[in-house]
Amino acid sequence: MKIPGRDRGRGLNFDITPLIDIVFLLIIFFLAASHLVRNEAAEAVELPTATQSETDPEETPRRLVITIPADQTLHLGARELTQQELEQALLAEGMGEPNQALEVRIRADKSVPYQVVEPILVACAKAQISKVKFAVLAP
Amino acid sequence: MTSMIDIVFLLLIFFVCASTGQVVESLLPTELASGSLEAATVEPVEQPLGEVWIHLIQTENQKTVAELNDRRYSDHAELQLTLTSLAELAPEIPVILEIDGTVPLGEMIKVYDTCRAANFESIHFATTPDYSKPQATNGN
Repeated sequence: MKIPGRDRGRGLNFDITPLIDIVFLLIIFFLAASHLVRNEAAEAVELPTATQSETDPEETPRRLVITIPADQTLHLGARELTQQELEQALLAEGMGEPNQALEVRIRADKSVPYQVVEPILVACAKAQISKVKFAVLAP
Repeated sequence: MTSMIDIVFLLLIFFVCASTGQVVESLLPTELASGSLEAATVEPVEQPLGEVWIHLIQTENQKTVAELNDRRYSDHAELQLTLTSLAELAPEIPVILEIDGTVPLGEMIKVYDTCRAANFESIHFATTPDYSKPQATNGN
């Protein structure tokens, strides 16, 4: 009597190469995303609120983002700078004619004393950067 | 095809979850005087209606008080009312914010926002770049 069974002759060709590719891609993606999220959390700032804020501002070709968390450290983009270094960087960026194409965004914690922000405003004025915007939250 | 749909859904769920906690930021613009600070120094030009000096002070009990033309406002609503009525009469009158170094930025933004909401045409920040003589930088 012949017992029906699996046909082992042909086999099942299962190519797992693309699966491995995608799994690796996902691992790299999640690692990078979680790293960025952690970095962002380190510079968390509690922004002040304002009613006269622009929700859809006009885009400028160049933008410098200065972040000042509650610990009063100064960050230009992702770099942590001292006050003098920041002033020099602003002067270097804004050298030349009055620069309408450059915008400075100040993301400062609402508890930061004004004496930390004032030198940045003065440096912007010296560097001929007139467009300075404060990041705020709408009430 | 099935595995691709799985992964697409996975990514979609990830981005939806990641964007849930995102806070939308707005921007409060200021227009600083460009050029050297010496050029931004306010010359003593006679204003027909004078100018409004708002001095923000941090008191000993960590409270911010606004001083407007020798009158103290500890209540922000009261200051807002005064500024609004003043701006209705003469919006062209320049407002100069003189802010003590210890005043938190949140309070400074609140007063600046109130001045903008009152529709004043020019709002300035008084600065002391060399910490010897006060000068004013155009703020709006």
